[in-house]
Amino acid sequence: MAVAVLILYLLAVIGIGFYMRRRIHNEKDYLAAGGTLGALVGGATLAATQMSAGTAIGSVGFHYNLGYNYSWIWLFIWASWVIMALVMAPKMKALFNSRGALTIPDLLGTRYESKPIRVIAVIVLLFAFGLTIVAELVGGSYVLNVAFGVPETAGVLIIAAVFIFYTVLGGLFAIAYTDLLQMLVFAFGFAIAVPIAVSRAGGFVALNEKLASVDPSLVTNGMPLTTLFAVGFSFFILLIGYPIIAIRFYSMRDNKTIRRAVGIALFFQMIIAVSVAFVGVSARILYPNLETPDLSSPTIAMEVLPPVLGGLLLAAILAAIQSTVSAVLLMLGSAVSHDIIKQVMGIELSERAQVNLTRAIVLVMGIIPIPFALNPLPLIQQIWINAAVLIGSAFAVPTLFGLIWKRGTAVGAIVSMVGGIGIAAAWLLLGNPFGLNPVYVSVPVSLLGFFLGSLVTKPVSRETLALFFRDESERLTTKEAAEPEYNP
Amino acid sequence: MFLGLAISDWMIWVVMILFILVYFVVTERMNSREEATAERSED
Repeated sequence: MAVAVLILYLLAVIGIGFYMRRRIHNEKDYLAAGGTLGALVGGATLAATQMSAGTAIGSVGFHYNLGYNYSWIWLFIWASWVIMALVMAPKMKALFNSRGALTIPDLLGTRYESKPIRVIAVIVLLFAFGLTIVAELVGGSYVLNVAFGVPETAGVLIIAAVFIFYTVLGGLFAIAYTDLLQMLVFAFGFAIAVPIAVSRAGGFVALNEKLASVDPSLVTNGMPLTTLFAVGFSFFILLIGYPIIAIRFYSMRDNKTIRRAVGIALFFQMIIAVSVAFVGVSARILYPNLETPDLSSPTIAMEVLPPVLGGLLLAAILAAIQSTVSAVLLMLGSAVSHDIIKQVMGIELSERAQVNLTRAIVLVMGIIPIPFALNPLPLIQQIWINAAVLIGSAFAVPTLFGLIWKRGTAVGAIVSMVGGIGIAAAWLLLGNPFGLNPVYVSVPVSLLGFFLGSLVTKPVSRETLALFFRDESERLTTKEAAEPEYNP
Repeated sequence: MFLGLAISDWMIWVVMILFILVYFVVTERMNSREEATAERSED
């Protein structure tokens, strides 16, 4: 029965992808759903993109080990969401409307009047996000293997085939609507598991008493407050301008829709945050000797829930994986087809040819990670954490400060990106000296590089600044009105 | 402790709910202000 639910879910996302292909008429439709998404679909796609196997498997494992208080991390994440919604999104949406921007390299290339920064951004995206597809495929095949004994090779191929299919065919339209389905499955699948798992553990009060008898910190401060703050703050920094989330703002109807969509994303995340905490702590009591905490979710699905609901919870885990990995895949495909081939190399194709080229690149980039995923990769969660560190160290400063500080220049942004990611990579390779998260070193370096590099170079033109800053835009309008163009 | 759980852990959920409520109140106010400005400029 659980298998039937899972197959039904997979068929549903394939169906959505197949149906949505009809709505693709040009590159803007394929990469940004034509900028037409409403608040519900927009909110679902924002939430689904951010939550991955890390949430459905990794976070549950953290709660298994640490108890409830790891949930505070969500508040730090949400603080980034608010900055993105209120500061960055309106400017990104304005750029989408005025210049047809579709990617983060588009944003940076336009803001800093620079092609090199566009190329650097694409290289960083390909390098840092490429491995995350491998990690997600491995995570998904692991779940199928534990739950149903599906050989890992077959698991990788099944998961890859489904998300590649709907992403290639339906682009962001398919991703956004499958994200809505995936978010509903994710939220409902985990929420429905909570009362059953908690009741099997003896009820809420008994569960807490048992947790306290195992380790009192599980019902107080399982993760010490200083560690919690350090980890939370690093999430806060990393998620500011996080490319796979930020590009979603282009796809929504207007600023009002974006603000509502972020609120809906927060609501979805709250349901999931509470649910994963309860599933994790219940698993700690019901199955205290799991081989690894990452087995908490699949074990609850197979051992505690009735078959239909167990299948739903497993579908929820796959949904979390596929929603993120399809977003990464589309972003990487667009980085090559839109940023490199169209914008940097200047190759102009017809609308239809451009869409087909992007589809072909998305297909190839979806296939490349498969052989790597067939070889066992340890520390899946670690790959995501490292990727997030590299991405945040490269993008947070030039993206955010480029939108709030007019004086930022291409040199400052390049120094900031290269310096940030360079230091982060070195720090990771050295094994985090002094036990310090790389973000606490890379972001100050990135900031310093940005300000120094910008201050010693010429500012960008006022025409470009007018695209991002209202006062510059008004100044330009006033100037044009005062000096009407000579038009014989 | 309340129902076997530390008050600090209960606070996580209270703060989450308040966060979302405040977010909606503030952003809906921004939305209506923007709509009013847009209507005024159309007039």
